Amino acid sequence: MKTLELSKLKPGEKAIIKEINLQGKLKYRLLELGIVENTKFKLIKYAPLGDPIQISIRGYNLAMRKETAKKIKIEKIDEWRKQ
Amino acid sequence: MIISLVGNQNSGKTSIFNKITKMNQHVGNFPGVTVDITVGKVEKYNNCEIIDLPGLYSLSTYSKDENVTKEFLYKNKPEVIINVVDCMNLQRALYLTMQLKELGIPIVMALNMLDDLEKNNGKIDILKLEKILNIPIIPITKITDEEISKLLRKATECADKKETIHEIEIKKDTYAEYNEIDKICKEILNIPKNKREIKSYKIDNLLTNKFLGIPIFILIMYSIFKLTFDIIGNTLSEVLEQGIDVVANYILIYLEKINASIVIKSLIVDAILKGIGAVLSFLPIIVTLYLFLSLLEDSGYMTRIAFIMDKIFQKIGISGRSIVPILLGFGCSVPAILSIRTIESEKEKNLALNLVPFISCSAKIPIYGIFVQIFFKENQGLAMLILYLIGILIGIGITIFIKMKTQNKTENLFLLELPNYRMPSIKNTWHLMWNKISEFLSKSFTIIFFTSMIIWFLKSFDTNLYWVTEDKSMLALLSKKMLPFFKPIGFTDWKVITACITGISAKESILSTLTILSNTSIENIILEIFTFKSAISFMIFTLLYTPCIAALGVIKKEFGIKKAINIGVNQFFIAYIISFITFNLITFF
Repeated sequence: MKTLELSKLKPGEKAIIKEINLQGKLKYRLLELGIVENTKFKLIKYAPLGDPIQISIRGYNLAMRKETAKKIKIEKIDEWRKQ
Repeated sequence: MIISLVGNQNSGKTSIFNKITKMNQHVGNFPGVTVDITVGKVEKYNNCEIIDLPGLYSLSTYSKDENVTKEFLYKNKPEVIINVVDCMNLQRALYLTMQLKELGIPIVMALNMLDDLEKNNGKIDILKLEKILNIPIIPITKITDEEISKLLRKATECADKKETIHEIEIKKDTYAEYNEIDKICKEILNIPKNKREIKSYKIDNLLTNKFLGIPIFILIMYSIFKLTFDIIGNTLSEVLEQGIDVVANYILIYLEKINASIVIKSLIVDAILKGIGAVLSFLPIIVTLYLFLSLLEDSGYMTRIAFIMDKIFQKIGISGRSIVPILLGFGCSVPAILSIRTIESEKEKNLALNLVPFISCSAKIPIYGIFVQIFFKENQGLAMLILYLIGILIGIGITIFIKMKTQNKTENLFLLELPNYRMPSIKNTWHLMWNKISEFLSKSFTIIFFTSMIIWFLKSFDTNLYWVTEDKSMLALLSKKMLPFFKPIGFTDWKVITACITGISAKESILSTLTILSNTSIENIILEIFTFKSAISFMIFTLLYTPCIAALGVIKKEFGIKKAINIGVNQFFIAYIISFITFNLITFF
C-alpha cells in the first residue's frame, strides 16, 4: 500500500500513521498527544471553511491544520479494529 | 500540607476541586510561578491546602514556554499529587501519570468518570491497574462525599512518605512509552461503544455543519450579546443606577442636615459615590458575559467555535481560539482581555491582546450614536458600520505588522482537542463566575476608584485649590494648554480635550463631561464645537485612543505594567496619527 498525506483523506476514511515529517515543538506536542507511527485513526470531517481537520484517535477527537496534516504520511486501512 | 491536583484538561479536575473546597477558594501567588493559581482550604483537614493546577498532557522540558503546572511542581514541591484521570481517555492520561511518577512526589490517582464508563457498558480492572502502576487508585463516579473523603484520606496518608524529587527530560522514546501504555490499557480496559461520543458527533453534524455551522454560530453570538447588553445588562445597570441614586439622596439629605460644605458634598457624591458606581457599573455586564462564557466552555462548544473560525485567523497569525476575546471586545474590553488567558501560545496571546483595543466596545456606542445622528442623518447605520470596520481593519493591519516584525514564519502549534459535549454543571459555573467577580472587584476596584477621584479633584479645584466651576479648574487649564497639540487633528475647543481625558476613566464619561461643561443639550454642544470634518476626526480618535482605566488595569494584572503602559501610549499615538490622516484627507475632498 502506498502512503498518502493525511490531508488527502476523505471524511469517514480510516488510516494508520506511517511517518511524521515535522520538527520542533509541534512534533513533540503530537507525540505527547499519542500521535506516533502505527497509530490508527479515522478522519471525521473538515471544518466548514475547509480547515482544520477533525480526526478521531486514541479515543478522543483532535483538530489539526491542513498544513500540519500535509506533513503526516498515512496508509489507508479497510477494517477498524478497536485500539 | 499542599495537595496539588494534576491532570489532563477536561478530566474533571475542577469539579473535584470545587467539591473538596466547597466555596473556600481564593487566587494566590506562589514563588517561581508567573500566574496566580487557585488555592482552596480542605474541609476537615485544617493543615491542608489544595491547589488546582491548569490541565496539561506532559511534563517534558523541551519547550521553553513557561508552564504553570510544571513551574509549580518543580519550585513548590507539594507534599502529594492527586492525579485526576478520565477513565474514558485513559491512554492519554497515563502518559502524564508515568511522568508524574518519576517526579518522586507521592501520588494518588483519582480515577474519574467511572459512571460514564458504566453507562457505556465498559469495564476496567482497577486492582490490576493499581498493581501495574504501583500507585493507589480511588474510583470516582459522581464525586460523592464518600469518594472524596476516601481520596483525601489516601492522599494525606501517602504524603507522609516522601522521596527525592528530580526533573524529567524527554529522553524516553515516546513511541515505546505509548506502546507500553497501549499494552496496559488492553489488559485492563474495555469500552465497547462510547455513547457520549456518538451523541457528540450527532450534535456536531449540526453545529459544525458545512453550511449551517457558521450561521448557527453567528446566531448564538448575537443572542448572547443581545441578552447581555440589551436585556440583562441594561436592566441590572438601571437597577444599580437607581440604587446608587437612592443612596446618594439619603446621603445628601444627611449632609444638608449637618451643614456640610459644598466641597464635602461634592467629594462624597461626585467623587466617592460616582467612583463606586463606575466600578459597579461593570459588574452586570461582566457577570452575565462570564455566565455565558462558562456555559460555552463547560459544554464543549467553545472549542467548536475555535474549530470553525480558525481558517479566517490563520492568515493574521492567530488561531480560532482568539475569536472569543475578539467577540467579547465588542461588548467590553475587560472580559475580552481576561479571556485571553485561555490561549495557549504566548505569541498568540500577545497578538490577541494588541487586537482587542481596536475593537469598539459598547460604551462607545452612545458617542458614535449621537454624532452619527447629527452628521450622517440619512446613513446612520452605514456610518456606524464603517466606523467599526475601520477599527477592525486597522487592528488587523497592525496585528499583521507585528507578526511580520517579530518572526519570519508563523509558529503553527494548532492542535485542538474537541471534547465530547456535556451538560454544563450549574455548580461549576457558579463557582467560576463567583471567582471572576471577586477577582475583578478586588483588583480593579482600587484603580477605577482612584482615577475617578483624581479626575474629580482636577475638575473641581483650580491651581490655588479654590473650589471652582469646571471651566476654571485645573483640568480646564490643562486642556487649554494641550489644545495647540490637538489643532492638527481638528480639535478646536478645550472642552473636547477635557472630555477625552475623562474618557480614560470610562468611555461613558465623554458625553457626560461635554454636557457638564456647557449648559445646553448635547446636540447643541456638538453642533457648536464640531464641524463635519472635526466630528469625523473625533469619532476616529475616540475609536482608537487609550482604553479606559478598567481595561488598562486588567492588562496590568494579566500582562504586567509595562504592557499596560505600552498599550495605553501606543493607542494614543495610533489614534492621533489616524485622526490626523483622516482630518487632512477629508480636507482634500
